[in-house]
Formats: sequence, structure tokens, C-alpha cells
Amino acid sequence: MTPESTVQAGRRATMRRFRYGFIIATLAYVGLVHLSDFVLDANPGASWRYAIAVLPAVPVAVCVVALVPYYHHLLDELQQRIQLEAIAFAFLGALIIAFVYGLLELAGLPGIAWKWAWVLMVALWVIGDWLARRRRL
Amino acid sequence: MKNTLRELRAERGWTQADLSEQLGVSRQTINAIETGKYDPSLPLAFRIAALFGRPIEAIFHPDGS
Repeated sequence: MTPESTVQAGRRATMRRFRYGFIIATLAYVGLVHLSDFVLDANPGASWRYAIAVLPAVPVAVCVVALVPYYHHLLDELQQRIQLEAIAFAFLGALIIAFVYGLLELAGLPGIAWKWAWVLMVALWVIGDWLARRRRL
Repeated sequence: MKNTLRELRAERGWTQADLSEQLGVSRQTINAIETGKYDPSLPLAFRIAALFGRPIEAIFHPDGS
């Protein structure tokens, strides 16, 4: 096997950086959710509470914006297929879980805040990515 | 879909990495095509056919034929 070319190695390194960035952004999201909860509890009547409430959306938005060039320019067609299958798995999985849990809430289970939807979708995306790789690679 | 990509590549003494480099895809994609786990898009199939100087139907065959 010949050594990996500079282009392939560069592409692989960029993909690795993106994945690490995604994990860091998700951890930042979880941290900011707790921080904004804390600040909002301490300042219930503040006029800036709406800005604090949407603060966790910043790392999510960064991820979504970074995803587009990552998908179009850094992935080849098989990698795009794998990611598409993983995203579809995450979307449908989250939809089913949210729907079923919503019905179970009618039976008395405690409500879960919408703010955890991102974490659920990322977790399902990771599982979908693993499943698609097993099937395709 | 079955294909003769592995044989064609071996005839030329290319590694999967060599072929992936010439086609502008990842080595994993070449491996997935060779093992039948992934059917390439039509543009990629045309690039493969052009690279080996053969018609597409001489490289890719429907399952069972």
C-alpha cells in the first residue's frame, strides 16, 4: 500500500477536526444550557433574559453552518451517503422517540424540555453513523 | 451490482490508494465498490470506465448476470 497522499491526509485531518469541533460544540451547548438556567433562575425579571435563554443556540448554529461546506467539499460520494443515512436515522429516531414519549407524558411520565432535542439528535446521529459505516465499509 | 474493479486494478499493479487518488475519492470508497457494498454514482462509474479505457458495462454487471 502506498503512503496516503497529502490531499487524502489533509481531508482526513479536516474531517477529524470537524468531528472534534462537533463534540466540543455539543459539550459547550450542554454547559451553556446549565449556565443559562442558572442565570435565568437568579434573574427572573431581567430584560435581557431572552438573550441569555437563546445563548445555547450559538454553538448549535456554528455546527450547522460548518456542516454545509464539510458535507459538500470534504466528503466524497460514499461519505456523503453515509452521513445522509446517519442524519436520516437521527431525524426519524428523534421523531419517533419524541412522538412516543409525548404520548407517554399523557399517561403521567414527566415532561422533558425541548432544549434536550439537540443532544438526542446528536446521540442518534453518532449511532446512525456507526450503523451506516458497518453497512457500507 | 458486481464489478471487476479489483481485477482491473490488480492488472495495472495499482493499490486502492493509487486508484482512489486518480479518481479523487477516498480509499474506503474504492474498497466498498470492490466488495460490492456500495454502487458508485453514474459520474464516478464513467470516470472509472474512462480510466481503464473500457465501457461501463464491461466493468459493472447487474447481480446474477
